[in-house]
Amino acid sequence: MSSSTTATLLYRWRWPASLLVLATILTTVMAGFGRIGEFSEQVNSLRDTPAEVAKQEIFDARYDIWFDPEDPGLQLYQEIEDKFAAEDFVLVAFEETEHPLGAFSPESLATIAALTERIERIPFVRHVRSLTSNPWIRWGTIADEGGGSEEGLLITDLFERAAGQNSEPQISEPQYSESEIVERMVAVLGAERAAVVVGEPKVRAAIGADVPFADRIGEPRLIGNIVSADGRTSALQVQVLRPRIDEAELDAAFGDNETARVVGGSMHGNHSQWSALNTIKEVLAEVGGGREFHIAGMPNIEQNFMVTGEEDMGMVLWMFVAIIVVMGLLFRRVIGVSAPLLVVFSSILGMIGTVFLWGDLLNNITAGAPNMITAVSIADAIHLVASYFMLRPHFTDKQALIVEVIRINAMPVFLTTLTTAIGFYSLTAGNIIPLQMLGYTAGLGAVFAWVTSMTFVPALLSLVPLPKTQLHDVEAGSVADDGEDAVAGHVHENWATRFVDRVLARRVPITIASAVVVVLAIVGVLRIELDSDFRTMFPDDNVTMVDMTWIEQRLGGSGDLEIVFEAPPRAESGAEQRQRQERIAELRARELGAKEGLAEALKPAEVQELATLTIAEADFARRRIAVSADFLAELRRFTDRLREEMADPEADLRMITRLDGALDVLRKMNQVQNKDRAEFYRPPVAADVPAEAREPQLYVDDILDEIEWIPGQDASTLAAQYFLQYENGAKPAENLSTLVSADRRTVRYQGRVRQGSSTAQQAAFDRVREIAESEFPLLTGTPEEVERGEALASMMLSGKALLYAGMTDKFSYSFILSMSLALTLIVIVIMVIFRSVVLGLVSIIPNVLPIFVPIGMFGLFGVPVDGPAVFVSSVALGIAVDDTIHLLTKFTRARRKGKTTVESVREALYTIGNALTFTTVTLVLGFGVLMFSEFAPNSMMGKLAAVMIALAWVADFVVTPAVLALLPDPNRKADPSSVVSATDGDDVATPAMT
Amino acid sequence: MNVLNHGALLAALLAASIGGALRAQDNKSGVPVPKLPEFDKSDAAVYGRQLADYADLYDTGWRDSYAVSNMTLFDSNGDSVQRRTVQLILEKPDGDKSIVRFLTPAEIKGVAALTHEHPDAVDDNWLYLPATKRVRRISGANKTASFQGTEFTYEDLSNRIVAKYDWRFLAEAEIDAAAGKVPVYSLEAKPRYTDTGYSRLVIHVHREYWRQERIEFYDKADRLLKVLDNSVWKHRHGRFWRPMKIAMKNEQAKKRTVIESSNQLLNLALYKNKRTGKPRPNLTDAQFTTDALTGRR
Repeated sequence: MSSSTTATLLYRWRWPASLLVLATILTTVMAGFGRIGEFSEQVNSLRDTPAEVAKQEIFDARYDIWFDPEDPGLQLYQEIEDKFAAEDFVLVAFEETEHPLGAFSPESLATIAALTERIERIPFVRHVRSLTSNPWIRWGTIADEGGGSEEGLLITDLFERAAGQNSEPQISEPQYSESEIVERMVAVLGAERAAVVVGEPKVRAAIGADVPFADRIGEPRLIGNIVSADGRTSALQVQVLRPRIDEAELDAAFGDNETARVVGGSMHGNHSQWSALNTIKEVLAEVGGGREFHIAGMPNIEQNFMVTGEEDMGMVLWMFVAIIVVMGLLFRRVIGVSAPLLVVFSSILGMIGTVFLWGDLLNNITAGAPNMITAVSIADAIHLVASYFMLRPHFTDKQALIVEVIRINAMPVFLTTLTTAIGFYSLTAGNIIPLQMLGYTAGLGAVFAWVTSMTFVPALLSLVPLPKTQLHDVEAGSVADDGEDAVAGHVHENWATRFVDRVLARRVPITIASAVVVVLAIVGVLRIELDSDFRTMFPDDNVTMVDMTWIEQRLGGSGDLEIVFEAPPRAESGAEQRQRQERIAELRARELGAKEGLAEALKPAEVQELATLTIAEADFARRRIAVSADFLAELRRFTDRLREEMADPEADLRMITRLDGALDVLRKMNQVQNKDRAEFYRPPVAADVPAEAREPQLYVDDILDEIEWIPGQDASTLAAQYFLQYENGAKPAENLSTLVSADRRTVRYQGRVRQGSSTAQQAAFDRVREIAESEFPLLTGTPEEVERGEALASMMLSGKALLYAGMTDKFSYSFILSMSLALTLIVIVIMVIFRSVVLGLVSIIPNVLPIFVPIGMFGLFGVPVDGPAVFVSSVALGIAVDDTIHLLTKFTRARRKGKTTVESVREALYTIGNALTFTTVTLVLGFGVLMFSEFAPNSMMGKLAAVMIALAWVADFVVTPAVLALLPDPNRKADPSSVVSATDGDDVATPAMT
Repeated sequence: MNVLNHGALLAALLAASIGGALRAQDNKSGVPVPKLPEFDKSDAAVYGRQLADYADLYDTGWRDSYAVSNMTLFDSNGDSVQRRTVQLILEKPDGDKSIVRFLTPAEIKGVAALTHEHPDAVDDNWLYLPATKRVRRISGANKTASFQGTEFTYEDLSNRIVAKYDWRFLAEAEIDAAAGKVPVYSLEAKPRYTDTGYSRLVIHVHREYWRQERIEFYDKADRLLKVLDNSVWKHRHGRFWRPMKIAMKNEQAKKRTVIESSNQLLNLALYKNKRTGKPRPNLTDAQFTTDALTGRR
């Protein structure tokens, strides 16, 4: 079908086609938003108390959306959540610089007590660790009911709460004398640090004259966590749950819609954490005593992401304003503004409606898609509207005019849509979900933009009467035959040709210079450092980031690192294991009982059986690493080694500020059991078990008249029993179940990581691995090695900080993948359209240059780029190539008519100079608006895209003409048969404007 | 004292399990069922307290008990581990005495905890660790602590003393229990003591058997935290109801602990010693001292 037949058909059916497109979009939008409404209700139904104002849930702020579901780090993180608790911590901190007791001043303590009480009652808060709630475990004298007393283990809250706990908490009168406070300060900070705060005499007065300071080491688990080492800053560590949702609850809410279950389920988690966070802020205002509080933690950052994401979606309004102004100035007609706007609105609505209908939501990255699509659809509409205004003086018949407008634009608009869509869709090649979603969302938008501009614009234009202005002396018919000639033959000179003449005169230096630039840019691109840093993702005055920095300066990192040690299970069922243990207990009891004449001696077969069972049981026991003395001793060496390097301000490990795990509990218990002497702050060793306990014992159960065997004790059983003793006193939230798995095969160590550049974080994580693997092979065996008994455990790292930092590497890979994909596909498209390999290759220069130069600059100057931002490159490529397609179309058309290369370049630029400039301005504005995003990656994306699109304009005015002019010129020898492409002009892409 | 022979007891137990929970046995405990008081239904607080008092009174007089408990801990994935303990309890008017001895896992076998409850004061606690061979006095042991990583806290496992709560009658209801619909009085109990993990409990007491069918635990934020379901009831000596299965589900963490009791003896004097054929002696105070914890005769 020839393009004029298509154009005529399209014109004839413009109203039905427009209505059909409009109806489709409206239906999609209604259905899409209907789906969102339904989904929002489903999410709401998970809440205990329904939200007062039901909000449409269109924003997906899941933390794990950034990660590859196959990522072992993510899978481990989810396993940790399953095994221990799905929660994040939030730190609420304040500073007391006035009072000599610092954060331990009675007023501070009263504030902490009141906050602890109130925050503990907030839904989804699992636990609050604070100076007033933390258990104080120590050795001391216990008074009897009867008036006597005995030595024993004392477990109390560090600062006991006032009575009447279930009544409304109040800031109670100071309950403690100064010396009592100092005593507790010593228990927390240690004697030496406490002496710095209050002076040595007061510490001496509180702990006695003869106690060595070195024995009072304080509670290392609390320093740099809920209190700063200088005793001035105090924090409440609030554990906030992401509530678990049963399968049954998910079924009830979402049915079997897999996406809705995943997204809705975790959205409920976010909502719960955020509602807790908001309530915490209310409580701070209410009972915080007017202090200035600072909050840090992952839920806070994630909430910040969502708030800025939602703000970004509002930016599209500014974009509309900019467009109305530009279009108004450009065309000075209502139709010139209204037709493009209708295209923009319907493209965006169609795009979002479809995304919602598919069950997806918007996220931080796709929040920028409406802006991008506004720019793209405006570019489409501009071609049509601009050629309408340009051709109008030459036509008397409205139908003929509009058919002509359609005819000359159909192919280029289709082609540019194709390349733009390729640019977007290439993002789906990477494995980063938000970018994949941007790819398909915006790619879809590009298609909507094409469909709507090709239907709505002709229909709207046909409503406008032709003005009764003077006609050029050209027959309408001849124009219809070859639109380009309508103005050809008149003025062949304008600003563009004058410009290109100067370029052509310097074609050789320009080509050499651009070749050098391209090479430099490629070098730069290869050296690009991708990085992401939460701190710089938001503006300097963003409260969340300011607070986080404040807290990190005083207390250390607020990100999380998980170091998980595990031994594989023995291949046997729980029943087999229990049977074996019962049988061993029975045989051992008889063996021992026989010596005392209480039982019948073992038969030889039973002796044999016992030996076999004992070997199996030893294999079972060694896998229970949490209660294995060998493992605990090795873990102690490892954590000491890490801590030593963490303290070095030059080391990579400086990014990690704390390590905390069950081992530290064990060390404390051992110390307390040994009269609080500091040398016992270590896991138990064999020498700690009294000789008489090492032999197995018999226990006689009077009731059942049975004898029981108590195994011989060693450092491992002592460790296990210390754990039990600790749990006997600890609050449920402080118990070991969040640190050690119930089957004792998994041990979790938690680190605190400073927020910072992902490169610095990654270096710290790599260093942990390096130290572990090179110096602690027993802790870092493969599961197979552990299975064979060649290592004690395997080690894995996870945690949100680690996952986010690890994204950067994946970005680099995805970036290269999507960029090469987009470039290859676009070059192929150009080769096919112009049926020329040479033109395809030539087109690489003006397309690669604008993209690689800005990125390459970052690389050359060693400035790290936000990971997500570079992805805009392939999008910019898809858009930048539009200019080249228009230029090459004109160029080949002119050459085919027998013009020389230089003439063809001049003619091409003469005809499309204005149009390229208008669309470039629009696109630069469209992407440039993203610069104002509060979310740095989006802002960077906007800046990069705007620069790239502007550079593409430069490349097509400077580089492409120069390079084309250097190509062998077939027409100079007047040999038309060697013209690069020689076929029916109608099948070749026709430029947009004359 | 009413002495039962072993066969009759077995038959009675068998009948209890076959006949189902709803059929009461003849009372062979020697402890008469207390007379119902005059209930004052006009005030929910008074009525609630009366019901709680009567249920408590109803379950008084069992003297002592012995049981082996199998605790199975299920995590949110349904994976499970087991712990086994033996409990001895001596019923005392001024606070029960109890001993918990750990049987598994092996590394804590022999650990024993002794508690003397005091209705009006802090309980006394001692812990024996075989690895140190010493009994340690422990003060301020936290009642809200989890019992061995289970969903039960020490608070849940200790005797609920009526006077330590503010009671309120909520409703007469029917709940779905494992054995079918059960008619209950639903009572609200708010702890009056400080060392608690809960804002309130809702206790569903059987309207005929005065046993606690279900307890709902609300956290400090007044959100449902845990639900305890008692089932597989045994009617000991035709008088005292004891659940052989106690399931505690944490509704927030979606974890679950199930305690299944075996070898339960209630009022030891009503059982014969297997070997000697003579009635067993009841437990005495001497068995609830620190010396008894070490296990040597």
